[in-house]
Amino acid sequence: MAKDKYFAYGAVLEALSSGLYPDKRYVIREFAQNAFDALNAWRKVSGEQSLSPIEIKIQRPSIFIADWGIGMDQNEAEKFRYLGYSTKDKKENVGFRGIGKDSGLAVAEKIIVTTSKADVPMRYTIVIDAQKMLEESASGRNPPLEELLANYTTIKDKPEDKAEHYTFVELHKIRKDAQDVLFNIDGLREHLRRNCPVPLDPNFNYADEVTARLKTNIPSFADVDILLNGEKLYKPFPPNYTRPEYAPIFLNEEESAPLLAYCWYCGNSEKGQFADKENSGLIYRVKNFAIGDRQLTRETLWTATPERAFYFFGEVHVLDEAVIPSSDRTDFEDSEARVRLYQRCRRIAQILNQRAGTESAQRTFGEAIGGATELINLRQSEVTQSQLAIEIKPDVVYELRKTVEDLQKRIDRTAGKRKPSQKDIQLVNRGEKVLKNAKGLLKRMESGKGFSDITQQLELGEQAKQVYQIVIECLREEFSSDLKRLERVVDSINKALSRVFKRPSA
Amino acid sequence: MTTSSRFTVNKQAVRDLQSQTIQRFFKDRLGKLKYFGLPSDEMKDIIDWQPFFSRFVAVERGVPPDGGERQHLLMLNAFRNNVLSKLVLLRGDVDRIILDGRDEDGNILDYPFDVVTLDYSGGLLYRDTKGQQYRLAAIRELVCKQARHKLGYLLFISSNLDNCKDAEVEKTLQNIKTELLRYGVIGDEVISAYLHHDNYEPRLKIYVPYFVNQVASGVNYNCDTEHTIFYLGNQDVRMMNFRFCLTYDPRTTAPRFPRERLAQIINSSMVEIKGGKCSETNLGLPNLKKLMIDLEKSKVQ
Repeated sequence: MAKDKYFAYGAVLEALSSGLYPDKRYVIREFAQNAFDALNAWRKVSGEQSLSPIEIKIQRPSIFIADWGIGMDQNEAEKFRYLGYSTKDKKENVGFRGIGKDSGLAVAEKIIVTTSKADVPMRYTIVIDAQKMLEESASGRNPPLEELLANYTTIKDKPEDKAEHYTFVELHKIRKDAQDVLFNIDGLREHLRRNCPVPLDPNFNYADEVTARLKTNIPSFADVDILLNGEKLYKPFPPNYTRPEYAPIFLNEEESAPLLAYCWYCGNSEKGQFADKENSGLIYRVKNFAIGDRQLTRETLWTATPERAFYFFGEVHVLDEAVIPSSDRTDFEDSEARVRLYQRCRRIAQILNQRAGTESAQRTFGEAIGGATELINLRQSEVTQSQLAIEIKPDVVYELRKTVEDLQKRIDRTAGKRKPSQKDIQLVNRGEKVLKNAKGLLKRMESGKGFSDITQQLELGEQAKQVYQIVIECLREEFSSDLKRLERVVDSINKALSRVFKRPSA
Repeated sequence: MTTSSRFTVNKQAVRDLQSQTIQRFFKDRLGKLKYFGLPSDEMKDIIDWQPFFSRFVAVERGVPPDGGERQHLLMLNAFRNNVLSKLVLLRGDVDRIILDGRDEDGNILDYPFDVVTLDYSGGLLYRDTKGQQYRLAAIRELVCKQARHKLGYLLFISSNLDNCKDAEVEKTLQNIKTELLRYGVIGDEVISAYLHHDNYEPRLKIYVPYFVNQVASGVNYNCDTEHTIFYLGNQDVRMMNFRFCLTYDPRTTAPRFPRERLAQIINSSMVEIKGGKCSETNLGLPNLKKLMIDLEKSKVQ
């Protein structure tokens, strides 16, 4: 009966800690998120322009996350121990539920936090003994949360320089079942690069341009240096990209309507999807932290031709404050705002699909011009040297005629566009030149000029001529879909006949 | 002046002397050095020497009931002083780490180091429950492991005078006397003066460098010993500090080091630090060189 005084019991710890975060690396992101909020809060108070780096140090058996943010005073440090307690404003902060820090319970034996706030000449060390709390809550007794928090969390204070402001978190003694993931520095680096608000890689040619655009269009936009064991992290990018383009997404069709999201993207300068699959696609971001992965935009924005989602890479920065990320940040909470966001952002997919279609048409047009040029050069040389057998004339003429028709069609289609691009115009000009040559050659071939007749050269008798033609007809049927092979076989037969039947010259 | 602040100024003077040694020994490599050691509580040495080093491997044992709070504090200090990224924390007893080659969490002691600073709070001749002088065994192990890389390095050792009454010290000094005789030098009076001096510092002034030199020469290293320092530490505890400059020399293979080096160790004056000020002293002890000259004179007469 005594238990009835309480409203929450220890068993909830398990759900709040390990239950929320299936990927243990999310825990580090949660603490990075707290550090980012603390840095932003300090920037607001101090008026400093940029954010100091967040340092993450992996050093067996612990992981440290440290920031020069606003820090906590005694009252805030006391409340840090509470579960699900947060006074953070949703609008201002990335984390606001007050449960992110509790994710540490799932991976470490202790959470040790030392913090100091500017103008407070003290520092506070909070120790949360996760191991003992979870052990006790898992025991048959299942004590009330208040009891666990009172027994297994402590706060100590010590004098500190009044000017100091920082928070230093140690996830002390990472549990065995989390060590493989959390001590894998390569895996953690990738996770943080993809998910945290680190700067764009300076090796990405348009990093400065994109960052400047984001700062201009997103009032609260910020990035922060994260040092992982001293190494500065940057957002990843795939190779071979085109110049970035930008797409603001408004609440409605009016450009004066509130901005729901702001998207930037680069296309693939090569064919189709990016070869670097991991770094292609668009990523939703809220306050520059990733929400979900590239599959989330593909699933929510591409209703048709989903493969085209990976013809691009970039980001969709969500600005609508009514859209709330889920606790594990793999999606947004189900709401009308989310529906509206997805609906409006489908415009991005339309733009990108259209662009992908245009680029695909331009690429195939370019390839058609290249193919036609190659064919013309080949036939031109064969015709000049009378190397083509008269028997395959219909086939080579047909091939060239089809090429001419295809080029003509592409030229007409591209030239007929309402707003042809510079690239379209260049392609049409190139295409027309090649078409002119192709037509001239076609005329010449249709007249029969440039073909050789082996039966005449060898002065074959009528019967031999008929046999030869029957053989060639059979071969034409056999190789109807492979003109090159037909050419090779006929050439080979003619050479053999010449060797055997050629009359000695007088 | 409180004992704590006296300690601080004295210790700072020791660090300054060590700093001079580092700058002299590594004048072309400053900024790229690798440190291994026991930093002081507030990491003063690491903070002072930050410009010299690209990496610090620091050991903090922690006190069992505190559950890692001392180590947490060390890392916090590293963060506050912008050396977190350069710092590797090894947890456990430094001697155990040297002997095992790894710390209690399996982090490997990654040799070689350029500067090793073993800033013990206790005595150097400490014996474990099995009667082993495992602190000295650890130093021997460290010198041998360093030798595999054939690189020059500095070894700084600080300790108090605990356990210095060990019979081992007297035995070693007697051995030195025999060794001197083997070199044709009668060192009875000098060694006797050391053995009967009121303070224990003179005995350690010979014993510790003799030990390090012997280990070093066994692995092809020359070892120059800088003036031994003594001072009052925290709670007025008498402290000593040794600075060794070790250079690899494949010709150095003798199990015993040369007479000149032995004479250098014995005759080298000590540095006393009081109120942060250094002064040279021989604590009234006779000089082996002088003795040798006297011997020469007596022969002539």
